[in-house]
Amino acid sequence: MKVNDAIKVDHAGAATCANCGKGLGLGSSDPLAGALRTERPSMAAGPGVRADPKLFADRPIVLRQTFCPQCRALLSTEIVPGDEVSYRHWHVKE
Amino acid sequence: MPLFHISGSERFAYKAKPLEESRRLIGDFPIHTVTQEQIDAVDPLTYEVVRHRLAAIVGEMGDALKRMSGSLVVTDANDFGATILDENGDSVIVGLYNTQLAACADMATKWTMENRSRSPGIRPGDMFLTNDPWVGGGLHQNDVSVMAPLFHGGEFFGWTMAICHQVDLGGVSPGSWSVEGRDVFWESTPIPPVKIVENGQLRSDIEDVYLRRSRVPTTVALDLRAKIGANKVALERLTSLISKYGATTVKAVMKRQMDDAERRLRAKLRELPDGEWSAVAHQDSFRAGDRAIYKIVLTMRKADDRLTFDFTGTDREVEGFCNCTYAGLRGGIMPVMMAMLCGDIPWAPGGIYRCFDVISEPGTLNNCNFPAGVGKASVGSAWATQNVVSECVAMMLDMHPEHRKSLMCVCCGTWDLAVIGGVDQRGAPFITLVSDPMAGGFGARVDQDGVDTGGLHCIPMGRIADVELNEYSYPILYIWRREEADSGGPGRFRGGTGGSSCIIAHDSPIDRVHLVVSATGKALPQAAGMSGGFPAGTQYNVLSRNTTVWEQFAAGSIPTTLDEIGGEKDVLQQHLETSLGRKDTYYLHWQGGGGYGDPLLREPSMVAKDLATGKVSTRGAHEVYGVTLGSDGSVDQAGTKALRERLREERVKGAVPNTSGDRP
Repeated sequence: MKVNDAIKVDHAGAATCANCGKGLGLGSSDPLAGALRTERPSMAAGPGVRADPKLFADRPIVLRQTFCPQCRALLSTEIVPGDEVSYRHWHVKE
Repeated sequence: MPLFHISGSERFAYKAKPLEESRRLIGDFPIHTVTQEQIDAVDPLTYEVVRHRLAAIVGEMGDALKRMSGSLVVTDANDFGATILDENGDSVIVGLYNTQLAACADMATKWTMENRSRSPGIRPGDMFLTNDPWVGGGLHQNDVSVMAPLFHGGEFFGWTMAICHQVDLGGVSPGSWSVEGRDVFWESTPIPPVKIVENGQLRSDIEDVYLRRSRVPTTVALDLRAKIGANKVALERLTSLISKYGATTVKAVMKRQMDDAERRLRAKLRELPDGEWSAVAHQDSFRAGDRAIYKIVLTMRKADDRLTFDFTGTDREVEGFCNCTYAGLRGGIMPVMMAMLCGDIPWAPGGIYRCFDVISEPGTLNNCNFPAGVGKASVGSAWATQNVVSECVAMMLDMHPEHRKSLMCVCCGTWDLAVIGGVDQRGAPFITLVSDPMAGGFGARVDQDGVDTGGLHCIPMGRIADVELNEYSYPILYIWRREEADSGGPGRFRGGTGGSSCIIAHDSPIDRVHLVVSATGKALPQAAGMSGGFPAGTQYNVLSRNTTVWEQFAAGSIPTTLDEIGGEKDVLQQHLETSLGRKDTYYLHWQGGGGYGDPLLREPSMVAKDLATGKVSTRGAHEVYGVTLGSDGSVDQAGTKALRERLREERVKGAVPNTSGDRP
C-alpha cells in the first residue's frame, strides 16, 4: 500500500522507499527508524522563509527532513522548533 | 492577572447533551418531529426537490445578508454563515460561506432551547442574539449570531441562523483584536443568547446594550438588521415550503438529509484503511511581546466507519487572545470534513458530527476555559486546529488509490490580520479589517498544484473586495496587490501562492490611519507540506516610515518593491497596534499552501513556467527546485540534471540515522 508518493508499506506494516524499495524502518512500530535525518536552519528551506526566525521567537527553528538511506529520496519535510520531537507519524492497522 | 476559574462560568461552556436530557431541560414546549416511518416514506423525487430547496434557501439567506449589510467584510468578502437547523438544534444544511461559523450553530441553538425556553420563552416572532464563543454562537466575539425559531401549527419546527463577522464590538483595541490582551476581560464582552426580537419587534433596549460597546455602532446596527432580514427571508421560504409539501414531509427530508450524510460518510470511511495519523500545528506568539511557540497536537484514529480526533498533548491555555473554545475546536474540524471528505455528500453537519468523536482536555489551547482570551480564536487556535485536522485527514486519504485525489495539503496557514480605523475621506469614523488575505493559497494535490490565491479552506465562496472599492470606502491607496513568488510550498506539485498588499494612508482629514496587526506564522510556516513537500512560506509584514511614495507618484511612477518605496523599514512582530502617517506604508504578505512531493522531482518545464509567471523566483527555481534556465527562458536540461544531482548530495550531508534514540 502506498502511504504517499515517497513511502510504501507492506502487509506487516514495514515501510519501504517508493523509489528504490529499500526498507526504511523496524516494522510497524517505528517505520522510519532506518531513514536518514537532517536538521538545518529553517532559512535553508529557500526564499519562502522570509525572515530570520530569531526576529520573532527565542526557540531554534529548524528544517527537518528525512531521506531514504539508499537512494537519498526525500521522504518528509517539516519546519519546527528544533528542541521538539516530531509529532508527524502514521500507523496503519495490519 | 493569571487565568483562574470563575465560578458559574461552566454553565456557558456548552457540550451537547443526550436528547432526553435536553428535552427535560426544555420543559413543556410543543415540538414538531417525525417518526422513522415518516422519514422512510418520502419518495426519492420529493426528497431531492425539497432538499435542494433547503440549499437554495440558505443561499438566499446569504444574498439577503450581502444586500443589506454595509460592511465590506460581509458584502465583498463573504465572511458570514447561514444555516437551517431542525427542532433538536442539529444543522441540516450550511451555506458555502464561512463553514467554521456554521459548525458551531448547533451549540448555540441547543443552549438557547435548554436555557431560554422557560424564561424568557421562545415564541413565534422571536429571535435571539449571541456572540458567546463558549455557548457556540461564533468562534470569537466578533462572530455574532442571530437565530430565529420557526413555528408551524403551534409547534416548534426548527431554527434558521445568520452569523457575520462584525468589524468592532469594543475591547481595548480597534476591531476588537486586543493584541495586548491577556484574558477575555480585555476583549469584547461575550453575550449569551438574548431575545433581540420579540413578537416581530426589535427590542431597542437589548440593541442599545449590544451597540453601546462598538466604535462603529451604525455599521454594526445595519449588520444586525441584515441578519434579522436574512432570517425573515428563510422563515418565509420555509413556511412556503411547508405549505406546499406539508410539515411532515419537509421535516422528514431534513432528517433524511442528515441521515444520508452520515450513511454516506460512514461508507466512505469504511473504504479507507484503519490506522492513526498524527500531526502538529504551531502558533508563534499569543499576544504582543510574547515570543513563545505553542502547539496543538492531534492523533486522528480511524476504525471501521468512525474517526476519533484526540488532541491529547496540546499545550495548556495561555495568557493572550489566541485560545479558542470548544466551539472553535469543532469549527476547526467541520470545514475539513466537508471539503475533503464530503465533496459528494450533503453538507449536513448534524449527520457528519455522528461520525466522529473528540477527545480534548478542557483548559487547553483549543478547548479553553473562561476567562481565557479568545478575541483571535477564529484565526488563532481554531485555524491551527483546522491546519492539523487537514493534515491528518489528508494523510489518511493519501493511502487510498482513489480518495487520495480529494486530498489537499494545508491551505493558507492563518489570517494575516490588519485592522485599519480612523476617520474616512467623508469625515466619518470607520473600522474594517483588510480582507485581502481571503485570497490565501490552496494546498497542493497529489496530481496538481494548489490554486494560487484560491481562497481559504473554511470559506468555499470567500472573495476579496476590489482594490477600487477598498479605496473608495476607506482613506487608503493601494501601491500594489499581487501574488508573491515562493509563497507556495515547494513540491513536485507546488502549493498555491499567497499574496501581498501594500497600502498608504490617503485623504483622511486627520492625516493618519490607525493600524492593528496580528499575524502568526512569522517564526515558522503554518501550512505544512506532504510526502516530502515543503510547507508554504512564512508570513511577513513590513511597516515603512517616511517613504518617498508621494514624490514618486508626483513624478508619474509607482514603486513595485519595498526597496523602491524607500523610508525606514520595520519588520513587524506578530502583534502590535500603531498608526500610519501620511508618508507611511504597510505591507502585508499572507501565506500560501503546502507543497506535495519532492521539489527536485518537479517537471523542470513547470518550474520554468512558474518563473515566467512570477510564482517562483530565480533563486527559488535554482536553490529549491534545482532548475537552470537558458538565456531564452527555456530549461537547460543538462544543467538542471547536474544541479539536481548536486543538491541531492548536499542535502544529506551531515545526515544521521533517524533512530529513536537520536531524535530530539
